[in-house]
Amino acid sequence: MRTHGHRNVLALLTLALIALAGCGTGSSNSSSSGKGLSGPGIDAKTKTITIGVLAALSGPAAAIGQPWDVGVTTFWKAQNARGGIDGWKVRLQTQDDQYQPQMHVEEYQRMVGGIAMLDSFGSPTTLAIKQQVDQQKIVTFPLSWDSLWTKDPVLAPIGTPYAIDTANAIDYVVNRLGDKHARVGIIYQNDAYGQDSLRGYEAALRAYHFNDVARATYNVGDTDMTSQVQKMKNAGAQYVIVAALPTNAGSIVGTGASLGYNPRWIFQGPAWLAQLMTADGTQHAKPTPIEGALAKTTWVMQLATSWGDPKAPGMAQMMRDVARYAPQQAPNQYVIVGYAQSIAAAAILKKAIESGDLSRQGILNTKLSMGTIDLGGLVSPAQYTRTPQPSTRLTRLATVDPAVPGFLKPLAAPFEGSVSQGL
Amino acid sequence: MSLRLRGLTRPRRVTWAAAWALSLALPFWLSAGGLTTATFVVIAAIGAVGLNVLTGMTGQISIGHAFFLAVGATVAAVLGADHGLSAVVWLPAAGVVAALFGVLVGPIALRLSGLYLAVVTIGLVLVGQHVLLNVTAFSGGPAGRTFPPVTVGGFDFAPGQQLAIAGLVIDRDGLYYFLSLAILALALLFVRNLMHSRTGRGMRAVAQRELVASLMGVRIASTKVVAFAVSSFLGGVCGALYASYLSYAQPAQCDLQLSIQFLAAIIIGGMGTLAGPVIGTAIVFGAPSLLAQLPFVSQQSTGLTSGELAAILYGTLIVVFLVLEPRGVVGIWGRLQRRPNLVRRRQRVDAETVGSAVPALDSKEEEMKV
Repeated sequence: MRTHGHRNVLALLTLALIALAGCGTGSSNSSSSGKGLSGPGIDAKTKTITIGVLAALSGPAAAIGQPWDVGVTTFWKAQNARGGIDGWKVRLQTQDDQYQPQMHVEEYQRMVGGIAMLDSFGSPTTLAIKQQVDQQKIVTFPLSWDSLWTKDPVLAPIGTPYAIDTANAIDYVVNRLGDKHARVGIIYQNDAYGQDSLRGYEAALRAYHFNDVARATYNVGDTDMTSQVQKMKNAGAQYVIVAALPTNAGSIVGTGASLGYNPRWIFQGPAWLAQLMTADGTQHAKPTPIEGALAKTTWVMQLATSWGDPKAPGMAQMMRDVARYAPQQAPNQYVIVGYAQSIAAAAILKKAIESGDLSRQGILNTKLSMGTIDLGGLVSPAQYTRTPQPSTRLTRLATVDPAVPGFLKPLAAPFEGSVSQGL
Repeated sequence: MSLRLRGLTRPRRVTWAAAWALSLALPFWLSAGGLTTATFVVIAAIGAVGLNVLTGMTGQISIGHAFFLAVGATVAAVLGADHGLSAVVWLPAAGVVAALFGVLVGPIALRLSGLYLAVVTIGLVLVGQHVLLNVTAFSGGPAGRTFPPVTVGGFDFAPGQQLAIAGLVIDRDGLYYFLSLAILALALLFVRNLMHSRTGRGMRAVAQRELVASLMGVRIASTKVVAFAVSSFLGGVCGALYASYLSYAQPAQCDLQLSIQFLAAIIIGGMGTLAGPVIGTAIVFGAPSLLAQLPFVSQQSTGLTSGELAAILYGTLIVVFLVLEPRGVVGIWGRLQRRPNLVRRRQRVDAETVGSAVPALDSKEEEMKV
């Protein structure tokens, strides 16, 4: 009886081995290195280019991921409707990663064989695929302003890294406002984002010798900001850099107001969200309890220009596209960022098509030789060269104003402080 | 094979053999993305098999499993990345160091049980995260750090690596998959033998009722400590493999949610069973990715993202299982086998396997019960 059982097992194993042998290499990555208008994610017959989008459409970062995705999608829908890029249409392959590195890697692997470029949301998520992206030479636009992206030739960030933004904002206080002995503090989230901001703060301190009166930090997930705010109040900080996420940033301003402490809060870009002002981020919705405090006290280092900014040449086009393809969308800085990022992607693809090489190596070579890409004034022009450098060093400082759409009113033209060159 | 299968009834033997055959062939059918999901599932299954020893077999509820994963990952990072040692060293070391922590924590379970123990193990995760966030030399701090690829001699599992055996090309994902599968097989073999050993029976007795177990001569202290050690050893190996495969990780990832996912996996699969944790892991860790692929649940049609849908399904499954079938998927399987129309076939099978005398005894027993 036992031999009978063994025969069954053997038969199954044999079957498995046949399956192994027969199915060949289903999992090997096809990285075609052939030149010309072909490559992964390129369909020359239908003239279609596929771009992968890994976005946090649900999970803790969905409030940022969704509008960013709207920006990306709107740009490409409009661009395709306008005839695409020299007749080539762009198809987006979007997946939700829930802001989980593991999901991000899985979805990346799922799409990598069929994409020519990638939009990748978030720092920890993008870091999880960085080695693969480097090895497969896929030009990737990270939605993150971490300074470390500037060192990787494959990555194409737009906007100003956190460290430079913070240093520039302090430069504004010390040199432009002439407050040489300003009492400055910083509240930062204890992660890569907060640490990068702190790096800029320390660089500014070495250069400008302002009064570094207090530093406080909190962990992701903390909700009570009382001790951090109290620390700033006790130290008598007049200016406080806030490198936090919107929920914490709102809590910081609200706690300050209830303690009767209203310094100049200077928000790092990701700390700001229009929903801090009204229920849904539009002007006519119900104001939040901290609306007044924000309007009185807060500056924001903008990630993009203000919503509807008439001075930005590309804004009118974007507003038309949003009205057409995402009419429900409330003013949101991440829509502008997603849109501007796609302008950069389109510029690279256009040049790559002209050069006749849409292989991954070809697109990467094109990216590295782009020099300066104009983003229609939505975000400061992006620089992509062979020498690693930040995409831009310009900071946009704005005040909070309930009277304008998106609630941010520029304080000064985009500027660069003296320390930022070293960062 | 025969050694492992000895003692199983024939249908179960065939089921296991089929499952292994399927697992071995899987990478050659799956797409690159599917293989990545499968690899994460197999790696997680190693950890779930570990937690099952503690929570399923010994009845000690632990929400601290993520802590042991973090310990394993940290050992991998320090030995593999910082000291450039081979995976032959850091992979077992990850398990051993995690097991040492398990032995340290184990005695807590001597004084506490049930919910109280669960709360203490929550503390473990919080303390672990706090240490990792602040001892940046090991963990890279809140920003996280890179983890080493598995290296064996001069061969590494880096992106772009390919291994060709007899015309078959296995890439990085496949390499991680097969390595993890081999470790999972060893873990299952070990746990199966443990279940049938004196210690394993002691564990079950402790899970049933501690007082009775101690009256029967089971040494409660050492049994619980061994359960913690085995559980955290496998947790550590799982954490090291997970971080290595992910190549980059942050302390924030080893959070309570991860612990709860492991707990959910063994509950859904079937606590205290051998196959349960593996099946449960496939559901809990594989479902979000698989659901995202289903065309009818696209965001346009439902207004929900794949992540939200997976969370709804996941919560529903836990409630349904706890209410209807606390023994999980494996319990359902058992129930199906006991369905009346299957009974006759099963009896025939038993008669074939064990000989004709046994069914007679069985029926006599039945009569006595009646």
